[in-house]
Amino acid sequence: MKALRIIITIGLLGALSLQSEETLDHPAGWAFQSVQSTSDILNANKHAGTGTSHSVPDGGSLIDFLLEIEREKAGVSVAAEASPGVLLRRVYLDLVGYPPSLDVIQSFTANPSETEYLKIVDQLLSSPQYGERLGRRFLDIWRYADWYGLGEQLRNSQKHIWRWREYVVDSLNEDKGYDQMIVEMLAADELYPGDWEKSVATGFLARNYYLFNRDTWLDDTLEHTFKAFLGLTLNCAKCHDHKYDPISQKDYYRMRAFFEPHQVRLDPTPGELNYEADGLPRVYDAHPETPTFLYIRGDTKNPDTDHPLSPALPAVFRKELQIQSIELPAEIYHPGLRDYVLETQRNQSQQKIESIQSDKDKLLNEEPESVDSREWRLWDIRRQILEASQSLAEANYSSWMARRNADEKRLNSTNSSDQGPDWFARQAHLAEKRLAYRTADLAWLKSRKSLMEADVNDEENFKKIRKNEEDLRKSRQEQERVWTLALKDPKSNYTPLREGKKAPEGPAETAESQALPFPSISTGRRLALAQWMASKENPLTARVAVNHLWTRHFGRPLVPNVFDFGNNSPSPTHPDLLDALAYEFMQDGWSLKKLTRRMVTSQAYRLQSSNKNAPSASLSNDPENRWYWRMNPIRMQSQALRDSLLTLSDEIDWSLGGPPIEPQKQAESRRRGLYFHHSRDDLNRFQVLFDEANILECYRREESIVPQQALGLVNSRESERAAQGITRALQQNLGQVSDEEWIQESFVFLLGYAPTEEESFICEEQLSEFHKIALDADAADPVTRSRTRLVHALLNHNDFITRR
Amino acid sequence: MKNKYRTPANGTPLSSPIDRRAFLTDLGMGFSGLALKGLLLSEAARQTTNSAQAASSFWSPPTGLPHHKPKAKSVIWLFMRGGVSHLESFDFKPEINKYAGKSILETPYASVQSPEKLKNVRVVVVNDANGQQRNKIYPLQVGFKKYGQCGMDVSDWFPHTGSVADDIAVVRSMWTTDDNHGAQVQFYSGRHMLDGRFPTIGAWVSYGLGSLNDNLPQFITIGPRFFDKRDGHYLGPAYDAVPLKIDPKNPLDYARPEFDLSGAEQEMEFDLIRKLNRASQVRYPQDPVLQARIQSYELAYRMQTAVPDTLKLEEESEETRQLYGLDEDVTKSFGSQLLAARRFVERGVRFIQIQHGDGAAGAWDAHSGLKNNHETLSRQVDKPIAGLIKDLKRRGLLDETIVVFGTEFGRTPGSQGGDGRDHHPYGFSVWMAGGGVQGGQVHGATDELGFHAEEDRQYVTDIHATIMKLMGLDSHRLELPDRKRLEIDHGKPINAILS
Repeated sequence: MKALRIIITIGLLGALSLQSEETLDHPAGWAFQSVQSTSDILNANKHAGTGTSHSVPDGGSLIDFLLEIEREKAGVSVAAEASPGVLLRRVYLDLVGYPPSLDVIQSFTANPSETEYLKIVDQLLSSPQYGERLGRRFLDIWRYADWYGLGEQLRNSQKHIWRWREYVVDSLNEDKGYDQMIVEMLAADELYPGDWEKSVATGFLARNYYLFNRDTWLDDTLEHTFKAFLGLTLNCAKCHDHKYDPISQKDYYRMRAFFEPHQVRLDPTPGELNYEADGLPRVYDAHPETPTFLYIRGDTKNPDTDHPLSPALPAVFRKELQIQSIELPAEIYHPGLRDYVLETQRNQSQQKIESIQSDKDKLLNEEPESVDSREWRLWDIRRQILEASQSLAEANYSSWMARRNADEKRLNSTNSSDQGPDWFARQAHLAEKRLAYRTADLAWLKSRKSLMEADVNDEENFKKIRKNEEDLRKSRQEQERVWTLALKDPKSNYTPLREGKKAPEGPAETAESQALPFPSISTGRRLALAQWMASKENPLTARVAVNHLWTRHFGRPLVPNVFDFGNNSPSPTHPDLLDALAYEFMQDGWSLKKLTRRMVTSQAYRLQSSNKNAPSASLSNDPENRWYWRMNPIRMQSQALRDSLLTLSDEIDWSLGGPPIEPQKQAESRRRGLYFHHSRDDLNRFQVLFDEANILECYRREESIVPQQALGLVNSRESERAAQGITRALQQNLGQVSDEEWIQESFVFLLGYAPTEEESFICEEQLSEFHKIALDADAADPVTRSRTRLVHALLNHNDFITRR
Repeated sequence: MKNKYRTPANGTPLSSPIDRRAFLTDLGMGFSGLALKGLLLSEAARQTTNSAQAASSFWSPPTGLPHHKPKAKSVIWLFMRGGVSHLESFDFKPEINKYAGKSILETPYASVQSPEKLKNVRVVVVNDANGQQRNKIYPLQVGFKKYGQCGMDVSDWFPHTGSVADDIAVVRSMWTTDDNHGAQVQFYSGRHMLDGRFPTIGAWVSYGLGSLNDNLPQFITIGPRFFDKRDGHYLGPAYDAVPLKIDPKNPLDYARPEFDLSGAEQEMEFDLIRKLNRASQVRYPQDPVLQARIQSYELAYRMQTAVPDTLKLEEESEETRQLYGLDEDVTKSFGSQLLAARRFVERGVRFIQIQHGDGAAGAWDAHSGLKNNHETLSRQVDKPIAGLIKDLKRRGLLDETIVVFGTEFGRTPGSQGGDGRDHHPYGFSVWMAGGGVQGGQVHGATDELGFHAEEDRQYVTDIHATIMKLMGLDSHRLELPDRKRLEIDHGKPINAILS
């Protein structure tokens, strides 16, 4: 690869002086202040807490240490720890999104030691299902949506956007730094200008594509980039200065300027050049020169064209970004020059030629005996057509190659070569003319065949066919003439090769404009913004991430509004804890696995979720569980519920990644719900009942309780099939057992705890009733049938759908 | 209410103030739902204290009680998809026939096309084939007659609706801003599709009001919808309408076991689930979610029977069935939906929205062949709609049931392609009846060409505001703290049409 030349420009003309003019009255609230270091926090709490040491408590004990200081002040003490079975189920559901197997339950409950627990945590964190589970959570926040539109017309998101989903899951599994992920998702194309594969991360931006309105598209991009990464409602400043936060309306449009140049395209993938079949959705800077104007009162019909705005951060962040534009290597802005594209084209052409050859071989064996017959003439025209098809395929390939070579010579003119760029251009010109001739030739031969086969008696139709043949013959003659001329004196004009498919900028964009070459320079704006967002000096980014992860594991956020850390939102309930976790998160290289491990190995995480036998002081002083003296239960998310049913019945298909499963194939699919086509029009019929992620905005999953959910779990094929599978699996595992034992094991397997006497009694009674009905109905296997009903009832138990 | 939810085991009341507050603290984004609302929210909200330190108790959810005395209990929302020609239904404009074939610029009303008057429109698809100015005036394709004591002009395509003219109030001065079928979304939510997705009027009503029947969903949708198939949006999926089919065997998803299971087995299983969940209260005392879950299963169990029962239209007398046109092929489908709607209203369902007209954009979208199109479609809906009004009235239900006849926009006075009319957001008609609406009147007016709403202009949310007022709700008080609505989103009630 060519060395990159970095052009440094001054991106901000007088931005600072401009900003100081319009400093708003709004204070920079807590969220705009720097994250305190853990040692500062510990020092400040020296006298309050039990510890006096400056050293940071290890892992999860940092959480417990800080919570305990607060609990002591509040006169609250912790409840008992959850039973091993409940804890095991909790950590499985949280980290991988399905419950443990019977073997794991048995071995852990037999030996629920600290070492065993840590071992399980580490196993789960290193399993690929961890990335799928946490990936789905982040895809909620980052608004994952497969493409949708009207019929085949793409209107929203991008085709093949699943490649970005794959990027997210893979990045989480390899524990890529969260900071790195942010930079890559906003600007991988600028961060790694030579590496086309990396740009898949920018699917985060490509997802916002909206065919009909660029303003809506950019508004969505701004709103959700800021809510997701910074917890700021920048969108409130679209029409007027922010009512609560130090963000002016001008700031809104200055932020828009970072994204103004970008557009979306599909890059070719190895092995496929048909962009409907596959492609890599990504963004790139298409229009570095497009100015950004403030819309007066947000009215898109009223841009303030006298004052174009440059990209810059709001003054509250006290940071001037250096924007460096980036020169791209030719094979990046001209994907046709990539080696794998060449190889794909070569292979596909070769396959095509070979396949025609084999058709031809077959045909040659079928030559009719009588050369004079109509049969022979028909055979012969078929032979000629195959010959011509083969020539066309060859011409097509040589034209593609010649154009590619000419492009390469033109763009990489530093390469010394025997022949100058002009010679290659003439070759390309010639090859194109030959291709045109071959195309016309084949079309004419096909029309000749039609003519030979036509019914002479159907006069009108016959005339039409004959006319068509005449026209095509003339056209072929014309192309032949042009090609012959070119052979004598080839010109140097040709159609440059185009690989990659640009998404239309709007319904009005023409094919010609879409086919214009991609620019060879990227502005570097997104990279500058992304690197600032993902930097340790940014007060918001780490806090926002910590809050999301905390909510996931503790059922309730530290900052109540997970997407708005602004002045009008409630302040953090535990500011020290939030900062210590954010600080350590950054110190740990923004490792989400380390942060998760810290959370799930804390004592706070292991507490029971029940009020039962709770310390009376805690119940009276902190009924809201503000000090996390017990765990908060969480309703299983839609995917986790279905995945759990499939895992327990041992039916699940653990295949990783790949294109989404289309709606009509979902009923029979055993893949995880993450892989279902997920768009405005297509949400899985079963999952949609359980607060499926809203593709427009889902910073936190809802946990509604509506009767349709009960109907879904009671009446669906999904839950019944699971009940049958689980019954089968339990029977295999347990062998011949009494009803009592059966009930015992089903409880432990499905709910994580053993039944009380009352529960056993209820179940035994009901089992015999089920059994009676099954006998009366002459069921084939009354025992299995009645036990299946019990299992099915347990799948409808509140503690099944609840992560305790 | 309280005693109903005691556990036999320990006798502790299950919804003590403690846990209600506990779960309320996290309610801004947390947990919501039908089953829960009737059970807990109303009590909880009353008991929430103004704790200055409880960071998230600064807002409390609606109690389920109306804000003021309601006139109406239920809404039947009829929506004609694609855009009904106001000119050939409820807004008679003789000047159109007078100037038929002429360009609008040749008429005395040329100013209707001045840019200033057209500026409200927000275009989604630039240079689309549809949604353009149509200049050559296209004559009315149908005649009009006067109906009722009020003498309302109604077209010959809606004779049955004409027969109930004294019960309906036509608003002839509607306007909207989307010149394409995104206007359907706008008619439901009040916001242009480019602004995003917002809760629909049905969602607001079911969010604001508690249920009148614990056996049925409170918010039902029947018939095809445009691309936005959800209602709750930021209120949450619990406020999405439940889609129903008029088929007692299969009225909604998962209404019946999708596998082999006897009625006795199912009943026993529901019983087992109930017993186990109740027994679990010993393990998890004072758990409001558990309470709500138990309630949701009871409701589900009853819904399984109540929904198909409500759809047993054969229980109705032959005379009633004929009133809705169930005896004729052309009216049977829509008539069944309206008869079912009446039966849902009788059982206390709050909001029933019924969409008419299939196809991506909606069947009423008569860009060509308007005469044939509207003649056919009006025949499908006219008799059932009049039947519904008459039936509600004779049963004394019309006073407490609002019926809305809406469409996303009208159609152009000018012709498109010689025999059609294009989308027309500048002026169009809808009507309302019942539930405190004074029938037999016409409100507002368009200009002589039926182009612009001129007198008493009403934006689509004014219909919403009228419904909210009649249902006893104040939309401002339902607003979520982090979801500030604009005044135009709330709309203004059309007081002139109220009795």
